[in-house]
Amino acid sequence: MNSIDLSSSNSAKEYLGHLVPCKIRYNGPSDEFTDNFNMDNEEMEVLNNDVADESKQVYVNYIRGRKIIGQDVLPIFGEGSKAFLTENVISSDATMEEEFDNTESINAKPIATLNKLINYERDGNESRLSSELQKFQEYIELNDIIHNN
Amino acid sequence: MVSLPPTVLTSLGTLHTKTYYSEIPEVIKNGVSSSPVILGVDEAGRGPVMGPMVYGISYCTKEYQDTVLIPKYAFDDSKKLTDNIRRNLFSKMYDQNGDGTGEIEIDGVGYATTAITPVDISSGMLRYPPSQNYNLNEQAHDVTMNLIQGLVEKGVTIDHVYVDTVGPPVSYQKKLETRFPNIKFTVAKKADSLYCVVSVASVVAKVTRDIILEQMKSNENEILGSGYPSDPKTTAWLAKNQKQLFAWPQSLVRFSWQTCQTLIKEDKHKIGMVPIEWEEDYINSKKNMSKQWTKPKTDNKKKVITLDNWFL
Repeated sequence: MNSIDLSSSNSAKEYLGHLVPCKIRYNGPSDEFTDNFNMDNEEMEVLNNDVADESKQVYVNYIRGRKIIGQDVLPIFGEGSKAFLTENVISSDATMEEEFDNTESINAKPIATLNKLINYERDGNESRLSSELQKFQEYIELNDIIHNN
Repeated sequence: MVSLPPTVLTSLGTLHTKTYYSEIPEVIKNGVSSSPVILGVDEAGRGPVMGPMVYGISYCTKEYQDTVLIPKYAFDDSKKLTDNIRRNLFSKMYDQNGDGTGEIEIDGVGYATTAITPVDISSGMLRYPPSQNYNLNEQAHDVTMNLIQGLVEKGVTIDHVYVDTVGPPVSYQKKLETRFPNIKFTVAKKADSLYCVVSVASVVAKVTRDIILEQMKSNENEILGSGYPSDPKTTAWLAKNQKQLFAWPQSLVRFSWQTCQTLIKEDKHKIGMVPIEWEEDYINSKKNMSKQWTKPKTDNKKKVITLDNWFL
């Protein structure tokens, strides 16, 4: 990938992203989400009762009877951070040789904005959720130090 | 218009387990009778793949059981009674107007139910890692003890509890006696046929479950059957309503049942089920989880990009 073009990011549709703890052997659209993948607000109210910091609140959902508990990853990047789903656009200037050798320049273009990116773990395995987010936070902090941000 | 039983109303419109306690009968609340309070415990809907598992308790003085319930009413193991008789018997135990104006014929009996929803049953049984599983027996025992505890906290002095069980009675009885040292326990198979107060609990639980299941229909004409995997109407519903990705509505179906797992895994109805793999699928696999999730070495740009390696 050679560049990311964020100029059209404001017009990209807004979504909620979910990182789920399973392998789903399908890529593509589905109309089943509306009826079957909705946050369990009743349970979330109970679990978030003592959580004052909104960025630390947990989300609860279900996949085929398995309860999954998640937290938003984006606050780790700082307040108001967004994530983008991008598609790769091969440069129109690429020569046939570059295309053949896979050396042509590629631009990543946002096609969707993710206001939240929720990382889930299975119910019973919440310690891994905390551990993953903590490691990720450390990674971002280290990254900032290396790049003097 | 006849209102739904209060035990049902408490459990509608929620994904989660709910408990209802009736008013404590005056004769018990005011200590009018010197007769000891006895309590029966039974469940309905342990085996079905659909709908809640309902635990019911009923309690009264021993005198009320012997002089009113046994001679005047046909309480028995709920499976031996017809649906109409069961509903009719239960309807005499609550205010059918739903507003406190209706007459309660069987006014010496108090009752309570806990309806454990399919979501709670499945998510408990399918926790990960497997050592965290909350199996059906544990769920059932905890709910029973909580129902009794709730009544104790309301100030009812219980003398003797009769429990119908499908599991081994001896160890269960010991568990209950340890938790409630001041109460006598009799845990027995078929207790709903042997003790009238258990028969009442059996009717309360069964009617509550049946009506909750009825209320879960998406339309009046939908045929769910009894909810048992052996019921052809239930299997027909499962076949007709299975979806490729999420399979069935989580509010209705117990995904932790082997019936569901098999229908999903083997795609018996040939609907093109999307395979979903969980960590436990790899526990006994020769390919460990790390290998499964490692990025392939080939750098094929046309391959679909996934987030499998996010943290690796």
